[in-house]
Amino acid sequence: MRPQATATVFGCASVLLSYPDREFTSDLAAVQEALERLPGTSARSKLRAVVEWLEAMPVVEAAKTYVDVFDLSRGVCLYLTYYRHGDTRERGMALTALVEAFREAGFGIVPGELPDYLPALLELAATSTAGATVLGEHRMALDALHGALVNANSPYADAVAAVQSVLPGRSRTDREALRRYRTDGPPSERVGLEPFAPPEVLGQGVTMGSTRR
Amino acid sequence: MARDTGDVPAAEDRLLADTGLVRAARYIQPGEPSPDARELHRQGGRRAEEFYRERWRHDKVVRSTHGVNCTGSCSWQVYVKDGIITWETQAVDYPSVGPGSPEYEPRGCPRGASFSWYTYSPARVRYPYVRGVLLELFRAAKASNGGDPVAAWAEVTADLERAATYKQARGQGGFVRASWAEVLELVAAAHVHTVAAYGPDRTAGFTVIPAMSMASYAAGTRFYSLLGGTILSFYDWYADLPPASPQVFGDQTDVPESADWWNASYLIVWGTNLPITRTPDAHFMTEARYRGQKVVVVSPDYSDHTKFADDWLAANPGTDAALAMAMGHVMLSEFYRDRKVPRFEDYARTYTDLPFLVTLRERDDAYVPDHFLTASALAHDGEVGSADHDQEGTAQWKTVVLDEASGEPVVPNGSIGFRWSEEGKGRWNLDLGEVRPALSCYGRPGTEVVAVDLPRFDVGDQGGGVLRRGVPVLRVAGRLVTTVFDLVMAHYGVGRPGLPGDWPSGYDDAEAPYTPAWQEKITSVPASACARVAREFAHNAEVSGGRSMIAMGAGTNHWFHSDQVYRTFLSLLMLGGCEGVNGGGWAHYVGQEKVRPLTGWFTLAFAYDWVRPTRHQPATPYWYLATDQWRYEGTRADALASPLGEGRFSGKSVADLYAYAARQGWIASHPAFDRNPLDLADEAEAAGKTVEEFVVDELRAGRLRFAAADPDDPANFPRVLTVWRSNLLGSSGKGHEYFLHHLLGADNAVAATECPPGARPAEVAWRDEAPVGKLDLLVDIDFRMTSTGIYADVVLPTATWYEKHDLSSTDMHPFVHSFNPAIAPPWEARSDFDIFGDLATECSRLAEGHLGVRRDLLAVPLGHDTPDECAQPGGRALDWAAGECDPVPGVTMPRLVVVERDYPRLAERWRALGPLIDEAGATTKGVTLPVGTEVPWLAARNGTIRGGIADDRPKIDRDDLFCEAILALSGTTNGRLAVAGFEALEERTGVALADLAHERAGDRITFADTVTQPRAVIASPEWSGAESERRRYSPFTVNVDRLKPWHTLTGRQHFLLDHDWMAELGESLPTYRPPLSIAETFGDQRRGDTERPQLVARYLTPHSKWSIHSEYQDNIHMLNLFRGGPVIWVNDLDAQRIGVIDNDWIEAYNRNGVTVARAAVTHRVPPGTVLMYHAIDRHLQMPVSETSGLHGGTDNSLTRVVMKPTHMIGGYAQLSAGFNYYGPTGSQRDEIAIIRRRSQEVEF
Repeated sequence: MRPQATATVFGCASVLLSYPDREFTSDLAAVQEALERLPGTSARSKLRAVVEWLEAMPVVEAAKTYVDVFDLSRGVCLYLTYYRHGDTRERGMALTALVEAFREAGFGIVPGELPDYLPALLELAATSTAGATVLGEHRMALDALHGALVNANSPYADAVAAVQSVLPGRSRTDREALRRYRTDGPPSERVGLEPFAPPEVLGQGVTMGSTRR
Repeated sequence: MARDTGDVPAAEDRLLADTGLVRAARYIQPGEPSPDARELHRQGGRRAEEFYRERWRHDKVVRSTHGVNCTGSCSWQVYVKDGIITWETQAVDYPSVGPGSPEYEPRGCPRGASFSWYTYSPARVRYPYVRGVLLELFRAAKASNGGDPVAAWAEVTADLERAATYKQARGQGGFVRASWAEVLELVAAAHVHTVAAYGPDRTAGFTVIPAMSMASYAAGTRFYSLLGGTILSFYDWYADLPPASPQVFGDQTDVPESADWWNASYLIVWGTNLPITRTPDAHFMTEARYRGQKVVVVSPDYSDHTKFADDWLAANPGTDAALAMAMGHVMLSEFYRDRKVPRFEDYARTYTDLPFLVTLRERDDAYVPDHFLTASALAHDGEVGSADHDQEGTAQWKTVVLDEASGEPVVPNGSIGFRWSEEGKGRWNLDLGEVRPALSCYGRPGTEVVAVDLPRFDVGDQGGGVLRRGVPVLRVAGRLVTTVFDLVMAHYGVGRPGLPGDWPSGYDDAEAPYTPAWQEKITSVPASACARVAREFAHNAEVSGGRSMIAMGAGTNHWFHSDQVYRTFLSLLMLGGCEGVNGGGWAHYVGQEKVRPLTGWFTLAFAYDWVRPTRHQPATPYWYLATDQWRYEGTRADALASPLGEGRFSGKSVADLYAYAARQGWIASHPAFDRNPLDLADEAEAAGKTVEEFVVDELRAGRLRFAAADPDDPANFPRVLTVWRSNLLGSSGKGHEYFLHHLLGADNAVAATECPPGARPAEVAWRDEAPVGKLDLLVDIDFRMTSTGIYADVVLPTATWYEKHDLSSTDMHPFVHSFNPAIAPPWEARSDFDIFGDLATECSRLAEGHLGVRRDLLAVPLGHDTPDECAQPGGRALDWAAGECDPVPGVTMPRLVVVERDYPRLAERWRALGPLIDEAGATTKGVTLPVGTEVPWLAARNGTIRGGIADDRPKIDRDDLFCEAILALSGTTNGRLAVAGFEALEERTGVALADLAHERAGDRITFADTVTQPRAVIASPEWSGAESERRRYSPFTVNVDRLKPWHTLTGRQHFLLDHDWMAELGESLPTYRPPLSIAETFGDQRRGDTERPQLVARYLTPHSKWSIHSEYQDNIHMLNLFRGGPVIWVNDLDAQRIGVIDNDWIEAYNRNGVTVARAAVTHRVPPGTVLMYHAIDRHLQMPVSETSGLHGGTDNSLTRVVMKPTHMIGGYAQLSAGFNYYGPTGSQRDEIAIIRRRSQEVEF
């Protein structure tokens, strides 16, 4: 896919995964239009399916659905570093790394939003190839999010799938991280617990000050 | 989108724009904005390496702490990098407590250390939410009402069917985000409409524990105070409030700082789990043991603190008072009868009511204690107490002792009769002069002996039986009198030769109360261990000068009869001369808190700088009526009465007693009347009467009624409720399922049946149809989605404790320190302070045209620490409604006060320090601090308002400025006010006090100081203990050292409470009462297939190690440390009996509701008792119940409010109304639960 088309996929997904506020109807129309110009890939059909699903309900229903699916839940969240780092102290560092990545790409995140918010990362990816690279580094999180949406039978899964379909393939590390996430969920903080259990209980390679993995 | 100057190719940064998405780039913007967002900086260059080089360099380190519930008040350093919180560590810069003592630093615990995950958690509340169905109704109604939001709210709520659609949706999800502008308009419209249609007192605010984020608490209560809303108490509602504290001390929860544990040489830890709930302080206990301190633990289970015990007394749950009574028996026998200890006797004479004379009244063929003898009985013409001498009517408030030398009755200084009168000036003190009060009438010339009947509750049903024991008596002024001490000796069963009656034959007499052998049958503590600990405790007090301490808490205080439990403890401390001594006395640690800068905080929090007073309301009776728990009441008021009572409660329900107490001015009851108080004020004016005349006439004519007499009248419903900084439904809501049913109209698991006709209230109106969904609007302000949030109509996202300015203090340490924003509130969160500021603005805007300037009529109960506490002499319970006295506002009725509400200018008032403080000063506990130079100082420091109603007044419109004002207006943080307050108190007491604060007279702790370092507070008349660099805080040291009276009837610490209702319940003296007999009252509560084994067990709800104070049950860090999710601890033998093995899913239920949990099977919990930690949120890892078919439940699904009549007493010295001072507690330990194994397949 050409960069322009990929950017369109990211941009459309960013809009679709954003909260459906009062301007959402015109947003959907814009997405429709953008999709018209895309070649007929699976990404396009997936995004179109999401658009059609959202168009079919009143905005307030879409809003309820969005809140039910994405807000207030740990299992299905749009904050990507959560999947890899959970609520551990390493998440703070991962977030600052993302702030730096935005800066490198020549952007800053709007005040009050976290840099790992998927619609924001999608915007970044739609804007620069560097952004697409940053997004690609969160492949495992996207996979985990997609899995959670499929489990919840949410049509939003297709929006994530469209993004997945235009990203480079998964690395071995990504696959390994996803496997761990699927069995254990996000990691939990283990700092200070080392003396209380043998390594086989706490997991491999534990050293002072590290998390479980 | 502008080009970056760096390496980014031009073609690519236009990709998004070229996609044609009109709202592209909503979340990102090129360049790096400055913090104030006015500038945009863009630079090129490679900085990736720099990032890794700099990864441990933080942009800033900010001091903050953890708020609301945690009394640890630990200061933390928060590390911020690139606007992201990345790290936090304990602060280590607490001022030293001096040589010879361990220090306070570092402080912190795992719960606090894991707090910061809330900041960025996906589970955080990030946006304002409204339930979709409500928002649509409101929008439609607004459109059809010409855009008038107030009319829209009126329309939505007036149509009961339409309203039911959103009320029934509570708890069912369906939230949508709303803009702040829209959501504030909706909330403000609800307030304005409710004020206009029903009255401001039909709005209410519930928040808790101000000390650990004072401004956040005050922002909302200031709003409600200016609005005229009802402000709900929390301490009594939590059942953390010890009613014994006002009963005995006339003061609520004044306790030692934890460093003073180090000064104790004998410590009994009795119902408080210090290493768990006082984690940062527990080191003082462990360290003191190396200094030789003996630690005794009384606990039914082998809990974490039991490990520290030298002696473990495993008393059965709820029997602690029996153990303490027997210890008292030992102390009185060995240290007051067999041998006299001069220090104990001197202490008893000077600082307790033991030498005071009590009249006896004939009853059947014996006597019962009646009332304190007062100076009015001694009246002869021209003498003290006679009519011509007693122009101020204070003689009946002056209690009497017997001079040991002369044998004459003497009226010593210090009783409450000296506190408020002109002639009492300079005489309200404990200086006995030449007088040496006789402790006992025993062996005195002229002494007779009579038999006295005393109630006991260890036998029979809840009403108990009678003990007959003799006391020595004298005749004074024609009355038969004895001393409190003699009654106490008889009551405790400590015989003396020549006194008639049934006395124990010795410590081993198991039949006679209150011997060590007697208690063994009840508590299971061996008699010898009881006697040994009592003896050691007293001996230590004797040789150390009173350094015996009892740390007590939830384990002994959450009981229905906790006041009696605590009084039996406090008696041991008073007998040992331990109160008011460093290293000695009571140390109450559950829900205790201390707003050290009390005066400034109180004044601002309740807007006393503009309007006085406010609608303070004890929450327990409020919820009892609002949630209709009274309709299910099984405990009749007279079931608890003493066999020696006079039948005062017969045929009455507890709700009847509250209605009585409210109209008699004993206790607050808001809303007060069944009419809008704004209209009442107007109607009085229209009728050309004073409000007093008007209200009394209307009441007499039956046209006006107290709202408490008809809680189910729609006119009396609470309509709008805001909950902030707390979790009413998931944490403190006793009778949780009743809240859901009647208050909210949501799905619920109430299984109880309403009272049958014969058991209904005699006076309170019974409406056949119980109301459902009384509340029109529930607003929850929080950063986490708690059980309260899931049932709220509106959820507003608030700042966490690392995102705002605020103040923190505690009784555990002597410092005041600050919260500071490490980051701005992310997403759409706003601080509580800003939310209420915005809400005030919005209410003012909508008030134009709907509410102008109005007059509001408040019914104010007779307040403690005001002259009104001397309204009803003799502790007599008269009833004006029954014609026993006249209804006189302020005397036999609530005081009626009219204040002005300027609704369109409410916000202007909220934002400025009002002028009332200049004239009236600021008052705490009856001491007025003369505020003077502080106002211009604040004007200079904070700046002033320009124009409007508050022109030229100091600004307090920002959280840091508000905190500055709190500090400036309090004695503990402003040396000038501390000295001035002490001087005012010197005038009243005639004893030297101001020198306590002289060394810091010029000190002023500013907000900037608290940001720099935690600062040690200044000794102040706001509190009862002296403190300085050289001295740790311990309560009542000023009373003991300086002879300043306690705020009680006699001015001394009380053993005897001579109010009519105390006598009716048989609780004039400390005594043992068993837990409520729920099983007898409510019968068999087992359900379904009774063949399936079910365990009936005492149901205790202690604090959790993993989820309390700064955390709830949603903290994965803490849940990881144990099993996570809800757990009920069950004894291993009990578990075996019902076929439960460890980690099985079980259900616990009773008539009140159902909850589901896993079983934690352990021998450390005694048989017949189960434990479920409190504050279980019903939506977190809580499966669907097979008993109710509903999703989950909470620990409070099984509890229900039961009110104790004596907690409603008022108008009588220390037994008078005060916010979080005295009132019915929401006790929860007397409940029983049925446990059974459930299907192991659970569905979430």
